[in-house]
Amino acid sequence: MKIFRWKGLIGFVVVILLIGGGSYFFAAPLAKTALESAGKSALEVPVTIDNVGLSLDPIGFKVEGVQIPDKEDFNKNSVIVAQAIADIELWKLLRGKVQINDLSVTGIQFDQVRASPWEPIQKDEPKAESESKQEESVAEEKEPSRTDQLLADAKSSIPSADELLEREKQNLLTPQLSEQVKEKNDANSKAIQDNLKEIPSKKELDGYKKEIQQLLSDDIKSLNDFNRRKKRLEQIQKELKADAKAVQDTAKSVDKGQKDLRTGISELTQAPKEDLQSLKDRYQFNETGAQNLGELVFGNEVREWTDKALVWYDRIKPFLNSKDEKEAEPDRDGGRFVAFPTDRPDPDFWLKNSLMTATLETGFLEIQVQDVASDFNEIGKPASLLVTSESISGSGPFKLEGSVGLGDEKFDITWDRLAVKNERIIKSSELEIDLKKATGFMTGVATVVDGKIDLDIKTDFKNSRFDASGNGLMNRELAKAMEGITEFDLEILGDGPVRDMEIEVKSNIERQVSSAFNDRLKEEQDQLIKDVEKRLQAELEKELGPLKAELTKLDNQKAELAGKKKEIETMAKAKLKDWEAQQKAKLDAEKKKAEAEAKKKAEEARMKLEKEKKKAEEEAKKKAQEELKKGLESLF
Amino acid sequence: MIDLLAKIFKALNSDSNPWQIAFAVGLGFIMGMSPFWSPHNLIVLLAAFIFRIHLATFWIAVAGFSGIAYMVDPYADNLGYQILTHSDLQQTWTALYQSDFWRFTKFNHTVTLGMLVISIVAFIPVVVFFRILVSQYRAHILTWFNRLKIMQLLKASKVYEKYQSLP
Repeated sequence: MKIFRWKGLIGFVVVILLIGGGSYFFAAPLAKTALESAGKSALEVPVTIDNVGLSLDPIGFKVEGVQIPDKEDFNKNSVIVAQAIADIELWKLLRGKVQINDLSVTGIQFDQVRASPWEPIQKDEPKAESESKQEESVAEEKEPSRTDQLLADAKSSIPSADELLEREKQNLLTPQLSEQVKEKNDANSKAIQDNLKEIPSKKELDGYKKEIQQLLSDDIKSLNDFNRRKKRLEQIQKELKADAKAVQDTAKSVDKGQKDLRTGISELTQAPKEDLQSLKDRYQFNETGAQNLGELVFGNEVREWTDKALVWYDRIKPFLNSKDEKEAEPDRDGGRFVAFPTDRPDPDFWLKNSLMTATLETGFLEIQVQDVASDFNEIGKPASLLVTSESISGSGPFKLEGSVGLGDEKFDITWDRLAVKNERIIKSSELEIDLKKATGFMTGVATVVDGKIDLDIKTDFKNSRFDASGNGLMNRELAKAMEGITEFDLEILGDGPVRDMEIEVKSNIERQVSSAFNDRLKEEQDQLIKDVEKRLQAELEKELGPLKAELTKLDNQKAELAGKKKEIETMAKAKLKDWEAQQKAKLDAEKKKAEAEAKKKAEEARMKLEKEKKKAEEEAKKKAQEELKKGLESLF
Repeated sequence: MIDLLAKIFKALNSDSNPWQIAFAVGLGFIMGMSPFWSPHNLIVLLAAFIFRIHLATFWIAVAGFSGIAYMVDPYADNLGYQILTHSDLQQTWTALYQSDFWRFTKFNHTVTLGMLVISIVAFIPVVVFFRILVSQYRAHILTWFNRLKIMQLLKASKVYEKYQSLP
């Protein structure tokens, strides 16, 4: 049997040609799909490309009509690229690596209106992120501007007495103590009221009196009647004792209430003095009141600039994301490439050199990007960015240099003769400040380490002219002071997470206007202290009135209770004892009288019996004598 | 696909050399287990075309082993990584890495290298195993199958005629 099938070579060649031809014909559409998909994945917006063509000499792609939508606005593109020509390394492309030796991008425009709104990418979440961001931005617009907030803060740095007392309500002793005294008094009053319910009323006491008089005054008809009355009187006595105890308890409650109220009133009287001292200590109005001036004047602008810078950072960042570690985590299905030491690095993606020209409304920008790679460790250097412009809006040369991708990210900015003209810095109902003209010299550096930024941009402004006007004392003073400033510096410091950094704005403008501020602040402070003192005293009087009335009421209650107690005790003790003694004496007399009468009756009966006995004896004797006489007569 | 399967059965049931079928499975095993766009697959494909093996079996084997390869990927990745990071081999790999040709082979890709090693090591056992399997099939299963009444009925049908007419 033959081992080889040489005709099979034809089949092999056919298969290879099919693969090669297919790749050529489908390369452009596949590249278009891949680029759109990669853009969508990296930027989270539907990136669209009009056309992708494959050129053979040099081997590369020509991309036309790239539109990157604005995340914040459905009707705008953040970036438009008219044409990009990439010179690609074919040999590496066959290995699945994209190495662009040279990328030339022309016709870049920013923030252009779209022909039709872009459709958000459908996600599992109920709202696309971009949509929710747009909603957030709408919500943010409804919030007061930072200038207004700062103006409000500046205004409130010297509040009125009413505002101060309202603001410090939680910290003031007077209202707190007044509340405490009231609460204690309410609790004591409730206890007194509860005790008063246990005390017999005047009607009940009169009832007792009447019943006692009735029990004492009527004649006792019998011993049972006596016992009944005695029992009832004892019961009344018991009830009166309980009432007396209730009166005593109530008196104690009243005593406690009085004592607490007196102590409370005494403390409350001292409270305004302590409050005033505390407010004086806390509200030391000096030049610190003007310390936030740089933030007030330039904060809004600075935030707009940094927001814009962050938008650009977000636009660029996805393209510069790299594997931070030397070796990536294993991809379960795809495996991983292990790199070895070489002077010929071979990342999956490597844009070696790129030159872009962008047209802005205010001038031209030249952007040079080098060494953007999928793995910066492999190429051993970070991506470099150089944005230059000879003139933007009449300013001098602008230069932004950055290195991104290998560990720390660093950006340096220099801008000579930064021309500022008719810049509205603050516009609010309270204050308006325009920087009519100024020339700035800016230098700055920003480093990003582990997502945290450290930003420091300094600008010296010369030949400045401010136009300012303001309502209210402080704003008028500020406006006046601003108009006298011809030179100032501005330092922007940023710290913290890139998208949520704390921004601090410093300026020597503060020093320049602080003197005017200080004089005015001192006057305001003195007036404020006087007003506050007056208000606290009035507050005290208002609170003390009802409390003093309450104290008088308690005094009266106490006197009334003392009288009632005496009355009850007298009733309970004296009358019953007298009545008992009287009744006992009365009963003894009656007993003696009854005994004497019985004795007399017994004597009379005895005497009667003795008389009858004597009479009977005489009659018997007489009868015996007669019979004896008769016998004798018969005998004789 | 059905044609391919029919061709395999025909080959199995015919007097085709069992080695042709077994080597087809072996080469299909290498190509199927490796990531499809691995450059060494070109050599395997060339071998499949110029050696007189059963092509239908080869393609079915490629498809079949591709289907189960993902289960072996993690092990291949681990093996490839161990080999590529082995200290004794660093000099070799570093030398190869300097060449565009060797980089083209994706030798430094963990799954590609791991799978290539696994499939080369397993190539001979797979071939021998399938050679035995074909012989056993023909000796036992096919004989038993042909004795079945239903098979005799099928053989009398037009479908069987069509099956027999396949090249």
